[in-house]
Amino acid sequence: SKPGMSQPMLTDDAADWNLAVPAEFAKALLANRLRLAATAASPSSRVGHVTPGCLGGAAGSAISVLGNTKFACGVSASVVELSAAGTAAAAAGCHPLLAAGVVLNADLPPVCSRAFRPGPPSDTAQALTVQVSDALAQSGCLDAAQLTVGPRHRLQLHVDAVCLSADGSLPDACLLAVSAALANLCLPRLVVPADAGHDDSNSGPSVRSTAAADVGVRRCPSGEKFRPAVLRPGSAVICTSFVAIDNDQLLSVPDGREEALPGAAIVRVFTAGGGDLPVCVVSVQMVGEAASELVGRCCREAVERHAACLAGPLAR
Amino acid sequence: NPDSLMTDILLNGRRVDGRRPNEHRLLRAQLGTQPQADGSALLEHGNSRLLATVHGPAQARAADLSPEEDCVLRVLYNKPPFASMTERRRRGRGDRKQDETALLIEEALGGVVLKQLYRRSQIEIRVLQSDGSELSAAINAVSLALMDAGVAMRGHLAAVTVGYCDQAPLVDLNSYEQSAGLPSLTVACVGQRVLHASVGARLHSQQLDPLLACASRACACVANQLGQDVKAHLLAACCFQSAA
Repeated sequence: SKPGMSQPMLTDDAADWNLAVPAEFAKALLANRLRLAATAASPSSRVGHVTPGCLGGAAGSAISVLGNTKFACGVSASVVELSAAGTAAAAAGCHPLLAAGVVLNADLPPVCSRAFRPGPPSDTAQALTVQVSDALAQSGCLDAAQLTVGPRHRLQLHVDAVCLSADGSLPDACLLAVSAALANLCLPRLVVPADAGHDDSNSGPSVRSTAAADVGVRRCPSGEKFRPAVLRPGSAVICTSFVAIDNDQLLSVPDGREEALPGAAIVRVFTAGGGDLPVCVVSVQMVGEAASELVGRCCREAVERHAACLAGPLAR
Repeated sequence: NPDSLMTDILLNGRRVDGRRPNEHRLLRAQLGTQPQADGSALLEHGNSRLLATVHGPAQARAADLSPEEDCVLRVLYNKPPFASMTERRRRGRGDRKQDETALLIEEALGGVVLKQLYRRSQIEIRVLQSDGSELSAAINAVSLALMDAGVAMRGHLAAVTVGYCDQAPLVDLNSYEQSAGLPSLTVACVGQRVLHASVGARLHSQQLDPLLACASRACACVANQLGQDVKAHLLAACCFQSAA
């Protein structure tokens, strides 16, 4: 089936019943252990679908589709000059992701859902930005050394994730797009002026030195490109959301309606790893309460889904 | 130096991307890409991809209603930071260029949507752009999304941007040609009626008539091309219904 359009099919009677008494319909579905979400259609739809490198204007880009939730992520880079005093002060006070040189912003524009109005970023958007930034910072998969350009300069990455369609499991789709976009990054090689006492060995992989001392950092005239491995090769940071009903049923990768079910607890498990790094659970965030064995089950299933994502949509 | 500019744009009768002066870029549309919106359309216009969704008609807010209790059309135009091919600019919420574009789209639609059928209601149109381009692509995407939503319109609103170079009109300018400062005209029309025309860079009065004629023909072509995509979508939907 096409990854772009997924809408579960109901018979006419069932659709009428759903329209008239949606709460009862949902309870009846759960009692029979059925799910209506687009992500429940097949195991591959639960893992998602990623299209890397689709946006020409960005250095690295990806669009992720998870059921009816779609995110577009674009990464662009700029060169920042470091001053010794500034670095120390900045590293002390700011978010660890910012200290590593990655500025992340998740945007939920009005086009993705009726719930979002134009204006300053909504609470959901701000919470999503914080969740995704924390997951990336704590993952241990980011390699900040790849971003150094010479002794005094550094690349700063701007990662913008824009939601195109919101239907539950927002951090899942967002992190899928961000991991794929960071893996897809392709930047022009840079030329740094060589000054006296400058040592070539610690200039970082993005640099060639030149003898001209009065020119700033600029692109290599041959126009060659390089791919910084900001996320360690083969690794990714992935979130898996679950909805726990009555301490009994577990719905993985819920859609908007399932997340809003009354009496349900949402568990979001952030996992990181792959390639040379072991897959581990970075954090677990919950809304509501659930029994500890359910949370344990969530973590185990999240680790399995992480492996499936690395083998499937994020495979390179 | 104007001579070198003209050879940059048009060399041996071919433009920067190899097109002849009267050729359009690739135009492709998909309707109904977002099931939870009332109408949606994804338009590919050359290198740009635009996504437009329509919500409504719905209850209008009391503050928006005019004394005639007419339908209110609100367009929200948003361009993500990675959309521009040349640079990344962090566009704030109150970006005037985006508001102006949204207002121009609203005015163009005001002439084509049958507002008297939707009294006291509000149709909200949200446009999100990627790989930046111009106003005409946005108008095309919005009219497709309105068609998908089933909003009553007088006809297919199509828009195109034409420019003038070396005494020859160029159809469907791309972003390189637009930023070069050619005299350009963005026209949106329904059949023979022109609903929106805006000029970019200085246009000589003698160049206006041939450009307008060229633009109306180009709009008819665009409407034809997009109409085929709409028909294909409707046929696919009908076949699905009859098979089910």
